[in-house]
Amino acid sequence: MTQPTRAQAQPRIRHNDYGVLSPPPPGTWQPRLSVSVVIAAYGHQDKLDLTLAALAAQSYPRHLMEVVVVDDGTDPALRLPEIVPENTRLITSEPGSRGRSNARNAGVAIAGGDVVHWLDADMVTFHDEVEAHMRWHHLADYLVVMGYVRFVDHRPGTPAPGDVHSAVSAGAADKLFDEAASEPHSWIVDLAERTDGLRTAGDSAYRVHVTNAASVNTRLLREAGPLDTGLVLGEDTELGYRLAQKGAAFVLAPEARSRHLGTSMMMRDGEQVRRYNSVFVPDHVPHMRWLRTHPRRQWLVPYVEVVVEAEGASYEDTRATVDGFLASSLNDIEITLVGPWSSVKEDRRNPLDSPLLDLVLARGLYRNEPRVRYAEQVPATAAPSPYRMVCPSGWVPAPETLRRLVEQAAEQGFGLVSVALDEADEVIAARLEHTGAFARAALVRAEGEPLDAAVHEVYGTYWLDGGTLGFLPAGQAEPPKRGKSEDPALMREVTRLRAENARLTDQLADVAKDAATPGKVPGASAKDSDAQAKASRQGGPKALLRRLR
Amino acid sequence: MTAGLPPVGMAAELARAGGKVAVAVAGVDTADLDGLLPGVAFEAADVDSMGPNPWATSEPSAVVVVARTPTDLRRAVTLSGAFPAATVVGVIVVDTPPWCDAPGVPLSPGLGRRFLRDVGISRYGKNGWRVRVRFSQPQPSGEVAAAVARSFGGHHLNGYALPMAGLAGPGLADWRPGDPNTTFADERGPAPDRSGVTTSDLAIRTVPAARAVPAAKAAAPGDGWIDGRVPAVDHPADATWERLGSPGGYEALRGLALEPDAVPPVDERSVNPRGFLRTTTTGVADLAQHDGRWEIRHEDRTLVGLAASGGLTDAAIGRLRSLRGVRIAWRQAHTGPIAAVRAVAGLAAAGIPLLSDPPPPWAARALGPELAALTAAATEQELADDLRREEHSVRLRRLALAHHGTTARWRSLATRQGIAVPAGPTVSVIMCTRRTDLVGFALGQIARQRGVDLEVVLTLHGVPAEAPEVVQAVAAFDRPVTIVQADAGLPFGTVLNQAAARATGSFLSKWDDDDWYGPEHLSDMMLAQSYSGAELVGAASEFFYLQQIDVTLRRDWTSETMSNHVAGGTFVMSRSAFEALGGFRPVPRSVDVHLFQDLLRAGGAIYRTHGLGFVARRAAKGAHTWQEPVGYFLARAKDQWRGFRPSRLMEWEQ
Repeated sequence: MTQPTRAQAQPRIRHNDYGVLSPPPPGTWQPRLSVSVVIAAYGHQDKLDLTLAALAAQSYPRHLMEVVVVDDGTDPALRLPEIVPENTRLITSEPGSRGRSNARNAGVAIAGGDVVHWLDADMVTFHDEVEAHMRWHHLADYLVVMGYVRFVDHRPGTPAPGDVHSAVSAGAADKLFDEAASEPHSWIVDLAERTDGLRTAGDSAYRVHVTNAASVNTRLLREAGPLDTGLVLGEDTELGYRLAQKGAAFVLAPEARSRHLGTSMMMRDGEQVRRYNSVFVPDHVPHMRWLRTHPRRQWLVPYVEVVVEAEGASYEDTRATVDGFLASSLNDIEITLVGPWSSVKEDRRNPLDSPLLDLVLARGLYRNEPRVRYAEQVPATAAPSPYRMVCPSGWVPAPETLRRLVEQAAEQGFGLVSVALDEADEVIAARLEHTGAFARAALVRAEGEPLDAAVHEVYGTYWLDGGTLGFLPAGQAEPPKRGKSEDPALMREVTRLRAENARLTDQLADVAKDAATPGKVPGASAKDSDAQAKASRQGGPKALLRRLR
Repeated sequence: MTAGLPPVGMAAELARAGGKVAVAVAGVDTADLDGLLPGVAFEAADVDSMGPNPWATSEPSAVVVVARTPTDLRRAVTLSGAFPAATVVGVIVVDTPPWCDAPGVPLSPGLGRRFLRDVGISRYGKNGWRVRVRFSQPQPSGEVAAAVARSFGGHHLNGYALPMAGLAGPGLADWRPGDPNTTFADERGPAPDRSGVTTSDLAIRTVPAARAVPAAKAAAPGDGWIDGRVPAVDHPADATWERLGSPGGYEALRGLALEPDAVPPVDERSVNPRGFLRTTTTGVADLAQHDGRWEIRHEDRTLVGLAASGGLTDAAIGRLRSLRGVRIAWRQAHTGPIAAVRAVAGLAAAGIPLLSDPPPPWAARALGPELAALTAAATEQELADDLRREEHSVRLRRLALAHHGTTARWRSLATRQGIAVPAGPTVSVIMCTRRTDLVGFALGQIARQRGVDLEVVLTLHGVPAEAPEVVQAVAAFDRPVTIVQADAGLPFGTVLNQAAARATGSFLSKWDDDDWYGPEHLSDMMLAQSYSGAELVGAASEFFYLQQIDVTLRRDWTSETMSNHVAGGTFVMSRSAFEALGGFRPVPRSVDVHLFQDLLRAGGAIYRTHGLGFVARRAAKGAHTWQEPVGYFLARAKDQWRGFRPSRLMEWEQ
């Protein structure tokens, strides 16, 4: 099985709306792609036997399917049972690199399929489960597909592998267990209901990458990198997040049915699992804004990577820009300062005559600032950060600029927001780029198509005015200073309360006016409402605010 | 629909004068007048049913005209020649739309102004106006009604360049609203004479549907019309569902000519797109049957109850402006087929976005096929989008005004009777450029203009007419072109004046060399000129194409309103007004702003129509007169699109 070339023009899924894809009904199409089912197992030979028996009864063509079972150090070692799919391999993880993630990574390392289908070692799949995954993967090569799992009661010894194989072969997997007592993956069902089956889930779709029943395009999986073995729980969520940064779209395939033998850890100890995950996962996933509310602290993966080119700029301009971003109320950032650092050498005898003196100074200023890193070139992607802000040296954001910009981009789901700063013949712009959008655009762009145009198609682009956002040229911007610039969060609160005050005052005035004109019917005529609108424009919240200020 | 009217506040004065007061009502029930003139003896006549001699008293102590809306007042004006003379005249308008300004009494100097001794204008109720005048000796009261009606509109000269109209029979005022020159006879004729000739060129006559002669033919003596000098066109008075459904009704229905010319016209000088709102607060309302008539209802609330005739008023349109649209339920269409079609044509002419299933065949015939198709062309989903909704509205306005407006109707009737009509206005397009490479582009934009008789005054400001791209572009242009060459050192205003001096059209259009124009740009301007009466009509620069960043913007300007400015590259101005002002100031820039101010200070009006047919190009600084940076436009845009994305009315193929 070889990696196919990406000859086929890829469909353009906008955000996560995979409605542009229409998979053929099962059994009516000709599969072409191969799949590696990767199962990490520890103990429970009996359940593994059932999992493999069900896989041996799949409708997907045998020559396009292999199964890789990784024994994560079971003692005695696991063995392949009697009923197994045709191409099944059993490997053992190395002592010293054990654990669920290690085992799965070892499986992927030898997987030869075009698609990797994660499966737990205690799952009974329906006869067309693999086919139901694969019909989606044939439509686009950047998909993560999540199947539909129900959790069933399981007593060891029943059913027997032979029963499972014949029931699944007969398309009667639902007769094997007490379906009435089974439970769904309830948080996925809830998410699907809120988001039209993930189609409107936007940046939160990555969460459905759950390694008990998800499948991923292998090229995409290898690009996003293996599971993070540093995480004991939530590692699949974290990989899902990184897949999104590589352009993945996430599909829910309720027709890809399977049954999990027994309950999940989440079902048994939900609160405990959440408590545990809320410690380790948010460090990796900046989209979890609700868990990253602290105003000062730093996190492993920053929300925004700010790129500033220092080459060719004066030290003062570079400093103004970098200092401006470091003073942003959105402080969950990292700054990449780009310049020819390897050729920047101080003249130790005549330091003031150093060639590239401005770069010497720029490098010296931030050498101990943990949020600034130096790079020779702009890194190809901001991943794992979900946003990249590219700002020309000499342009300085106000404290609230970056927060407002990113909020607007996130709210509207824009892949690129350009900010017009100034112009000569060309417009000088700062850019906020959505990492996943740019990765998707690179995957789907046609030959000769500008990348920004493809970004527009898959995520949307927008232009804003820099002045309105608070950008100033370095010469006009005031340097941030402790105790001088007011806390933006506090200022926001003051503004909000002032507006609220104005609104209530207005409401009170309306009530008083209504009381003074008996028999007044609200909205009696267009002319009326027009007059009211005018009145509220003149004496409304804005005017009151002006007076209050 | 009407409630009792509050006192008019003139009662004491009228009572003092003694004698009887003659009251003319339009759109108001005479039963509602009791509260209006308490303690005053009066005799009332309704303009919608009055004959040639409506009042018994020929010398009333005062005349009071009571109209529901300015549109209704215009119907009274049509018959105002029959109003008696009096020393005290009152005009009451009960309800006016939000865009309606205070009236005046601009009487012609030759028609009673020198006897005017006292004028009072004040608010009547919440949205109404009350005008009271006193003369030193009795004067024709109809002239006061005509002057007040004129003052509500933008036309300083309220003429119709059309055949003079005669009305034969009652209830025909809405065929020629607002025209005091209309004359009045009974159904048999003859049309009245003045100075030895007939006062009208073409008459419209009320007859029962069963006896009506189709509009294509004129009534002859055998049909009961005795005046052989003036052709008369029949209008069936009783084409109601009730009549058509009763014995003999089928015959009447078969005889009914259902075509646009059978429908009383839309009074485009008062029912028109003015006051259109781009952003709305209310959803889609329904035009549906309620108590035997069509009503426009939204969420169980009646916004507008239609008159039995199907005639709409400006005040009613004012109440519909905040709606996303109106959905037509054709089953049980109003009081009769002609009244229903008239109502729909009125809504369309006002640019109310309509939703409908394909209209029934009788309605499609009477609306005309294009307008019928257009009523069913939009979906509710499209109306939810501000731009799509406005495009639909503009298309409706164009067709309805072009096929159902008063001007259009009489031109059509006259043409069918072989009566000559005056030629339409001609437009001289003044296109001034300093860039020969843009001449081809600009002439291409002008070449695709539809529905306007135009010439181009190509003004080369310091560039040679011999330049090959100029020669080629002019050769490819198939309408009249005059080339004016102006010295590079002359200021822009002077150059424009030199161009205007060579123009022969009755209207001047100013054209930018690098902007985009929709193919109906000029005809939309001329249409807006005809209904608004403003001396200068243009559009706001709503759409901008920012060439450097390949983005199209839309700014949020109010359209369909009297204004103090429009975009310099869009306006059309009457040549007589231009000449009265002496043209542009001889200065190098800001010539438009000065012209606008000069016009307003001279008492003229500027009307701003929709801006969907114009896209301003904003190229790199220095290459254009725009000085503001890109960010200026971005900060003020309501919508933005990547690429060149004009409105659909631009008919621009990518």
